[in-house]
Amino acid sequence: MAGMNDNGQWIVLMGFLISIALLFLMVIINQATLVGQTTAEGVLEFPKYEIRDLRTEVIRSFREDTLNSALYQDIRVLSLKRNHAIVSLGSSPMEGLDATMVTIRFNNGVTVYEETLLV
Amino acid sequence: MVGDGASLYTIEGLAAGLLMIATAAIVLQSISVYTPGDTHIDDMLLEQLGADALAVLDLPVEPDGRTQLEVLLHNGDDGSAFHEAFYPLLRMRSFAPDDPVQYAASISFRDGDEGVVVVPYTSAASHTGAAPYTGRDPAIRVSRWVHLQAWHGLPPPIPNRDQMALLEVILWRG
Repeated sequence: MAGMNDNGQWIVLMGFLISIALLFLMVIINQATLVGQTTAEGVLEFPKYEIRDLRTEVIRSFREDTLNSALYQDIRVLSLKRNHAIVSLGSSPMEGLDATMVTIRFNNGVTVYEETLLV
Repeated sequence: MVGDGASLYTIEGLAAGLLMIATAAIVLQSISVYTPGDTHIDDMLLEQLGADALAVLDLPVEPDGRTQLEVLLHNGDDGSAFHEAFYPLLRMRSFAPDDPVQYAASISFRDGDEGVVVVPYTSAASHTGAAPYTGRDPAIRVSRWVHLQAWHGLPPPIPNRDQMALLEVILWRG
């Protein structure tokens, strides 16, 4: 060790600091791509359009009074087999009101949705 | 013992280091690395586009009336009227060439108590001569409920009964 030149210690130390900073930046960049993927996956998995579409059709069929057991079966089986979602519909007439209380339940394992409304 | 003779050099080194870090940060932020995981973002946009296009078709033409989609399915459309209405909605862009979105549509109905039958309806390939869906393109799927009356004009095997059918569309760029 006797002949070793120790004049550049600060410069060496700064070099270390810079390399650590670069490593830190690399970690941040890696995180950024992951965030983009998980966000997009979350949006893709969320059945926003399925629920909206189902809701529209159910409200419309209750309003037009066209929903019968065969149509209900269509919605239930097609939802289960094609959209991989359990759908359950319920209705009960409201006492003293000219309206029906409709319950829509939707569960595809990721998203659980339940709504009660007067039609 | 650390000498303090080179303070200026040290400060200069520090400044140079900061400068290099700033340069690297600016350069790295100006580019984005497109990883396979990022295709989800395109899929997300494509799903939005397809669902919106189907929603536009499924808007009642007049208050409480039938929608364009229901009218053409009840008229027994062989797919050409659907293509005319749906395809431009998918591909139209402002001040730019068409977005190369392709689609294939099918109709599913319930058969028996628990059975489901999926019937191919129409596709971009059968109207434009584009390549049909190979199964290898990353595709996304959107669906829309259609209330079919018993008198609908769609060909067999879709049964002539009052029913809810599911119009399913897969979309991809190709």
